[in-house]
Amino acid sequence: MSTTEDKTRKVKLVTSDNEEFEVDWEVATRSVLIKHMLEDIGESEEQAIPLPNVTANVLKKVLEWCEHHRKDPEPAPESSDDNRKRTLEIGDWDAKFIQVDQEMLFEIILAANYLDIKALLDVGCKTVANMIKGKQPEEIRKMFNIVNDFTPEEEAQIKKENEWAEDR
Amino acid sequence: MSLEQLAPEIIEQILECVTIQDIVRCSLVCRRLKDIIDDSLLLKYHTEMQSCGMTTGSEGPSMRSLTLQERYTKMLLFDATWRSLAWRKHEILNMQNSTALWDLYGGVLATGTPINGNRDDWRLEFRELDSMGRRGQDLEVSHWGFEVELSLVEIAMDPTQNLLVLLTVPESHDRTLEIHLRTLTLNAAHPLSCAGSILRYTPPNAEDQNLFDRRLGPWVIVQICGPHIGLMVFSENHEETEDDDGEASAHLVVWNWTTGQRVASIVGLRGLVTFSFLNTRYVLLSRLGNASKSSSSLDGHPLGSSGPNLPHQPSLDVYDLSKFKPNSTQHETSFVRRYLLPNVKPTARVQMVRVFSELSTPSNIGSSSFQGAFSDLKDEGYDDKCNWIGTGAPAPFTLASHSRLFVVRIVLEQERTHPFAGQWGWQGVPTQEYALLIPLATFFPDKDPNVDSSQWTLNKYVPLGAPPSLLVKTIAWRDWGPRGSRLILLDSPTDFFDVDRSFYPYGPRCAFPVRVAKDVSLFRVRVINTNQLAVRRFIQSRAGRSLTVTNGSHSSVKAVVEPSMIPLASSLFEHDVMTSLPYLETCTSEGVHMDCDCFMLTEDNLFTVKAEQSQYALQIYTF
Repeated sequence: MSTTEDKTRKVKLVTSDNEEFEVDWEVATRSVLIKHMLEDIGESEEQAIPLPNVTANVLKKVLEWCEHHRKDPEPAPESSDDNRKRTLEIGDWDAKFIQVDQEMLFEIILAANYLDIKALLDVGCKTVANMIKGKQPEEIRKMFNIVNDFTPEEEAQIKKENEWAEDR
Repeated sequence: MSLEQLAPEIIEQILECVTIQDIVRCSLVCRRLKDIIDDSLLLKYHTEMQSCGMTTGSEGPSMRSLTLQERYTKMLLFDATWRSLAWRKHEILNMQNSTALWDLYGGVLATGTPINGNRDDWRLEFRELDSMGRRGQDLEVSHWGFEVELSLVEIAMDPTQNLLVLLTVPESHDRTLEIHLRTLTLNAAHPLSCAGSILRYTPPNAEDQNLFDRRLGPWVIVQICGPHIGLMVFSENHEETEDDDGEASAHLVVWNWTTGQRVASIVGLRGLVTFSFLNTRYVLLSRLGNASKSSSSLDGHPLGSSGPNLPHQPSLDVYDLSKFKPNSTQHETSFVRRYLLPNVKPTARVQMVRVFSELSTPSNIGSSSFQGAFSDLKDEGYDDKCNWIGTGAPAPFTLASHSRLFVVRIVLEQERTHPFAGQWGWQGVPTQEYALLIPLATFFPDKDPNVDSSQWTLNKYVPLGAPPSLLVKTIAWRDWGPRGSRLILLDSPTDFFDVDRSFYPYGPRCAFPVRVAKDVSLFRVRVINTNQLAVRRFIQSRAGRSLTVTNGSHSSVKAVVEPSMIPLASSLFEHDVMTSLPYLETCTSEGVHMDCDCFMLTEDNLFTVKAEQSQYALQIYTF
């Protein structure tokens, strides 16, 4: 795979709602899934890549991220989860990018997970973590529209078991 | 689409970024979240690590292959060993030479011996301490050494930065102290150090002629914290001679050793001051108070310039290094926060207030410049056996910098009224010795442990009922001490002048020898853990049963949650002193023969030190 060719090469992606996107190779291959698929297909083919788990409006957003991060160095395979700093800091551009409604936020997380874009998944997860941080269970339920399916007895029991972790 | 519908792996990844409190609250949200959390080994490991005061380690190649389950098992084992105090190995190290230097820091023991009794040439030996439970038994322990042709007065090191600091007084300049910045592994100029790899210190006071007497050496304390090196130099006070009680004036200088810049300089520190870094930004100084002296002046600076009355009582003062202008000199009064210690009776005297802590802050390890500096060395034949130092000690988990304990040793004595008072060696006065335990969180309440503690800043302090605009630097004991610390009365030293007891905490723990019977070197080992998560979890696990658990006949663990009182009637303090910081205490049941004065801790070892006629005997107990 020569790099000069890679830069000019275009990749066609087809979403679940049948929309076609044509993007630079460098942008598309931010996704490890797409990169591997391209390697499987081989360079000669001008075949479109089907992404049955991603809709057009989500892919558009994801590609916007990939476009901005096209020059980022690839994460070293060694520096896996262990060495990643567990801070909640998000870069300025990413923070702005991820200011979307909740539905889109979760769609982006799902898409990033499916397309295997680690850095984007990280941004999504940290955003959700920031939303959870310091909130009471009821506030979390309200925020994410989750129904409390515990009986009051169960709830009391879990609370009791976990008292130790609560604030001083 | 909502949170609870995400795949378990994604939920794990989200919750890995939040605190244990947040994880617990999430498990109360709904059944699915609770199930995911309960089934997650990653979150279990994460929780265990936080309540042990540890964090993910910098891993060498030998550790990378560990599975999550293996790490989790090691973590449980680590916790269990500190609860049972069952050591697997015991070693005695005898230091042959009475003039020897030694240092223990970050799991490395350094010893220095003068060659042929000549203090101008030294043999330095280093050994990495064993750690069977955490790092594994297959790990080869590094042992190395070299000779230096310097007249050493003190050594210090930080293995996490591969930094060795050698203090020397060169023959040609008797009034200058040189600080050589070397690599711990090879004794080469440290690649990250400032140009020339030497920092120089000259006392500001020209009268301190004997300060650097080459035969005696200056009385100094050196501490390393990330990019900073702090040096405290003591000199005899020449101004006042009527009270020959050895009151010294100290000078603290902090450099950035990577740039060579002098970050801070504080002069005129009266009364046996000691210091410790809170983090890379703040320095904590302990002081006796101005009890024995009226407000005097030094170099024309009135000591009482910041307020009407400098307190009589001892205190812990915090200085903010970011407020100092480079190369400027500040006075004692430039502290940003003063934590007052309990006052003593007018008839009593504070003999000592000394602060101890250990801070292996691996601040540089992750940075590319640090890694880069050592990859260069490796290319030039960097010793493979010492490879672990450049990348950080290979351990699946290591001490979290936020989980630190400060131990303040306080010694009080009755004012000397006897005719022989003041004469050297006079033992006719009762002394009382205390250890005041203060976790880092007391200085930084409400800080997120997931945020690097080097970023923590002191909150503004407003006393209860005061207008929020009021700027208060001094915090009364009652406003911070009773809740944020624990005062422990220690066994009275048997022979006070011979025993300079030290306490070396590690992370949230510290250990004290408890003498079983007088004049017998039979001690029980008492380890105190101040990690509040661990304390609360232990109490929870007891669910209303007794808070003491015995580990067979060997040892027992108990949670101490009741406030403890040092009553006015039997102490030299001016009031009843009540403290209530909860802690876990592990104590061996039987006395163990260990000839020692003090205990030092590392992550995996208990270290005993016995000093007899300037001769040290060290013993290592490895968990």
